[in-house]
Amino acid sequence: MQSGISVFIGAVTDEKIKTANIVASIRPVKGVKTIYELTGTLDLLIFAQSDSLHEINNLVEAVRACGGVKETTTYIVLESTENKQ
Amino acid sequence: MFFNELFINKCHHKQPMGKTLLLDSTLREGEQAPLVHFSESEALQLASQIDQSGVDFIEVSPIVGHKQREIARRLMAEKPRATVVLHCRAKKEDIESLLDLDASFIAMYLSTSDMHLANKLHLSRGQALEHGVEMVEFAKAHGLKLRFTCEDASRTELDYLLEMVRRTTAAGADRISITDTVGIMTPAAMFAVVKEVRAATDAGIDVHCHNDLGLALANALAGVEAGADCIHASVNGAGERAGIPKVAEVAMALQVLYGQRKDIKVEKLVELSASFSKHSGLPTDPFSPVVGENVFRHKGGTHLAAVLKEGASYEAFSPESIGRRRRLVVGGYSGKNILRYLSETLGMKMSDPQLEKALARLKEKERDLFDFAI
Repeated sequence: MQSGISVFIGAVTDEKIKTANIVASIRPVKGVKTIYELTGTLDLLIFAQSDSLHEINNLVEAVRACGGVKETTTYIVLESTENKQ
Repeated sequence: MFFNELFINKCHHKQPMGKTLLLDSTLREGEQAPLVHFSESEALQLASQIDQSGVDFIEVSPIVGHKQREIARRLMAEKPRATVVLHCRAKKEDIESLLDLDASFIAMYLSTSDMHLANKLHLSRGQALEHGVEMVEFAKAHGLKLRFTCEDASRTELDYLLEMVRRTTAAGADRISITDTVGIMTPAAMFAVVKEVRAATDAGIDVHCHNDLGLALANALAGVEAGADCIHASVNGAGERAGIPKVAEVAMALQVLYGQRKDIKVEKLVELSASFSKHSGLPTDPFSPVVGENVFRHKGGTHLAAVLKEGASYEAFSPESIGRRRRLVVGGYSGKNILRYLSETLGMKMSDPQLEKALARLKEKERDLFDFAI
């Protein structure tokens, strides 16, 4: 059993603001582990982890408050499978 | 009023209970557990943490060897808040060796059961009685405060036990320890024996109960209800064989069930347990009361639903009261409530069909996936 919650936060960003600046403002948020820049309906996919649900909630709020983040959707990781090929 | 309050306050004992003292024997009884060995510095660090938790006595055993003697010497030099009790056999050479350490409080033990007298001490009852009295008088003549421990008391013929208690108390023993050395008492039997001992002496009474049948804490509390005023315990219950009561469970039982000893810093007990595990290499049992990993971890769907509304639904005391946090497990046992709670807390706005789909996938897993603190 994994200890703590893992989430992906999908974000749509403002095209008028440089993505690098948005990423730079998200990076210091406590619990953020990896930020992926994507093509398609989502511009960023942020992987985050915390032991506490309330810390995850604060983290999501902090990401939403970053300049250039227009909207977010949170996905809880139920289980992950590593491919060891 | 809950049933236990009704029972304890109205039915079981008529007199209100006085303050129950707590003796920590981690560095004596605890180090007698197989695989448990502490270096001097580890022992002193543990002793410092034990002392900070607010116990009344810390028991050590300087007669075992050089290391234990140094631990006792250095511990007493640190002048802890708790009284340091130096444990020894009821033998003149042991007592004399403690005098060299500038002891002020010692605990001497002498077996009182026929089995121990015949197989271990090779003494008759009369000889043991005279020897016990002689050793108490010898210690008192040197100005020591002392506890006289009737080892294997629970297998000692009652009249002889009471005679030993009367005679050693008359000789000056400040405290008497009633031991269930092999853990064969029931709470009712312990209550009955300690009640008799209480009537036989004005000295303080300790209860030292072993956990061979899992009744150590229950027996110790029964002893206290019958008039004992000190419980022996150790961190994580370490001791010979199945050990003795855990200091954390004793402290919380006194606070939660008897409304006393609020001065014991229970919030330090989890850290203390972890230190013991680190130094001994013996992990804390997840089911261990108070300090175990599972104590505030809820899993079943109906439990989670109730706990999310009111933690006390499935908790004897709150995690916050001992500096811990409640944890919820998500997996095959989960219901829709936990998913809805997660969705609402994180602003995910999951629809009913999405919740149903997620629940079906959890059920597919048939195991625990993750847990988290709230």
